[in-house]
Amino acid sequence: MGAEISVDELTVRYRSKNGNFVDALGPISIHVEAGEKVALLGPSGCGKTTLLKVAAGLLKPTSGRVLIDGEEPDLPRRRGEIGVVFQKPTLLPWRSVLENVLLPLRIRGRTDDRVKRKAVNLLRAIGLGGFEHSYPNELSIGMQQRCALARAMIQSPRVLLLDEPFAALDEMNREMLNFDMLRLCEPTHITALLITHNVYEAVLFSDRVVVLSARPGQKVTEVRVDLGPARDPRLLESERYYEHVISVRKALRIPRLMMAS
Amino acid sequence: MTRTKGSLISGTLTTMKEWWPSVALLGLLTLAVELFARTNSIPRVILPAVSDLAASIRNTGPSFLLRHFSMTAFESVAGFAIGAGVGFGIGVMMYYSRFLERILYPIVVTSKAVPLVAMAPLLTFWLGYDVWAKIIMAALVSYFPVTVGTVSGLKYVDQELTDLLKSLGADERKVFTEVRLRAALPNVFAALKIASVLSVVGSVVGEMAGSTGGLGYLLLASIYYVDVALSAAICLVMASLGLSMFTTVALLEQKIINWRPAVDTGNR
Ligand SMILES: Nc1ncnc2c1ncn2[C@@H]1O[C@H](COP(=O)(O)OP(=O)(O)OP(=O)(O)O)[C@@H](O)[C@H]1O
Ligand SMILES: [Mg+2]
Repeated sequence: MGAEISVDELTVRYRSKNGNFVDALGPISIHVEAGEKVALLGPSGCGKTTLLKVAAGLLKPTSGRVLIDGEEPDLPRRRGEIGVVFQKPTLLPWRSVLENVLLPLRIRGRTDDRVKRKAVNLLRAIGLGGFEHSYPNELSIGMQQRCALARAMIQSPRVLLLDEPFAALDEMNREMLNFDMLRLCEPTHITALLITHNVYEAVLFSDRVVVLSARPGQKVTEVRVDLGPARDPRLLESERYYEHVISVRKALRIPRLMMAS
Repeated sequence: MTRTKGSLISGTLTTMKEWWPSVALLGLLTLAVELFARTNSIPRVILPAVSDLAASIRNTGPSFLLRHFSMTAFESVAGFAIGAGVGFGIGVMMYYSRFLERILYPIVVTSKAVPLVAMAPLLTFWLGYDVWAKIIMAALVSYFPVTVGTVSGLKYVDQELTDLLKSLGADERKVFTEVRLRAALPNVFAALKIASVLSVVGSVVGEMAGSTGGLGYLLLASIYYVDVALSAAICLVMASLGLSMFTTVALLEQKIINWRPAVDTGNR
C-alpha cells in the first residue's frame, strides 16, 4: 500500500562553488495522497530534481519539510520503502542486469532465491526477459532505464520517485515504457511522483498534474486528470485524453508569463 | 557478447593471431641484424650477430645465467608487490584524507624527483649488498605510478553511482568496494603495468650499484670483460623479464575488468 507524501513550505537554497547562494526551490507545498500518482511539470532548472532528492531523503531542506506518512524521508528510505529512478540510468557497469536489480537488497544483506525469482519476474514484466546476465553497456539507454526501474521496484516500495526517467528516449519507446510502468504500478497501489518536461507523459501517467514556475520553483496551478486508474494505449486516441493535455498546456502558459516578467 | 579487442597497452590481450605483424617485424629485424653482422663490415666483437648472443649464453652456462635471472626476478617481483601494495595504500589514504594528502604528496613527489641512479649507491650503503637494497629500489620505482593512478582513479568515480549507493543505505566501506575501487581499477591497472616494467629497472640499477649476483651484476661483469655479445644477451633477458611481468599484469587485468564498456573497438 502506498504512503502519503506531504511537502510543506519547502525551500532549498544551494551554495554554489563561488560562494553565491542559489534559491533553487520553493516555498512549495504539495500533498500527495496514498496511492495517488502525481506528475510535476516545470521548466528546466526550476528545482524538480531538488524536490525529489529531498523527498528521497538525500538532501536536507533549507526550510520547511517533506514527510512520508508523517516521517522524515530518511526513515522509510532506510527501510527500503522509497524507490527512486534518476534522470540517468545510473547502473553499475561491472554488474549484470540481474545483479543491478538486486543491488538494494544485497546492500542490506538479504538476497535469497525468492528475491532472485522476483527480480527475474520483474525484469520480464518490464520487457527485459532474457537480459538478466547482460551488462549495462550492452543495453540501449531505454533498456538501461527499464533496469533502473526494476531496481527501484525490487523492494516493493510504498513510494516511487521518478526523475524524468524517460527523457532520453524517443516518443515510441517512451510511450511503451510508460504503459509498462503503469502496469507494474497498478496492482501495488504505490504512491508515485513523476517529474517530467512532457505534457503528454504527465497526463498519461498521473491522477494530477502540478505545474511549477521557473526557478525557484513554486506551485503555479494543478490540473486533475480524470482518466481512471486503468490506462491503456487506446487512451492516447481518445478525446478525453487530449482535453486534459490541452488544459495542462493552458496551465503552462502561466509560468511562461512569470518567466518573462 | 562483444569484447573490446585491442593492444596490450589499452588493456586487452588477445590471441597470438593478432600479434603476428609485431612478431614478423621482430623476426625481420633479427634477420637483418644477423645478416648484416655476418658480413663483418663491423667487427663481430663490436656488433655481434644474434647467433653470437645465443652462443655467449651457451658458453656462460644457462644454469649459471638462470641463477642470476632468478635473483633479479625475485627482487623485481617482490619489489613490485611491495611497491604496488604501498602505492595503492598511500593512494587510498591520500584520497580519503586531505590532511594526509597534504603531508604525503610533497614527499611522494620528492622521492620520485631523486634520480634512481643516484639513490642506488646510498641504499646499498645503508642496506648492504644483499637482495633487500634491490627490493627496496624496485619498490621505490613502482609505488609512485601506482599512487598517482590510484588517486586519479578514485577521483574519477562517477558521483551519481556513489550517491546511488548511499541512497540505498550503503556505508562507505560498501561504497568503496562496490563503486570506488571498481571504477578506479582501469587507472590502477594502467599504473601497475607501468610499475611492473619499472620494477625491473629498479632492481637492475640496484644490482649495478653493488651486488654479488643478479643480471645487473652479470651485466657489469660482461661490460668489464668487453663481452658485447653477453651484454646484449643479458639486456634481452632483462627485457623478457619486464615483458613477462607486464603480460602477467595485463592478463590479470583482462580477467578482473571484464565489464569494460564496448567503446573504441579499434576502428581507428
Ligand atoms: N549542487 C548544486 N549546487 C548549486 N546549485 C545547484 C546544485 N544543484 C542544483 N543547483 C541549482 O538549482 C537549480 C535547480 O536544480 P534542479 O536540478 O533541481 O533543476 P531541475 O528542475 O531538475 O532541472 P532539469 O529539468 O534541467 O533537470 C538549478 O538552477 C541549479 O543551477
Ligand atoms: Mg532535474
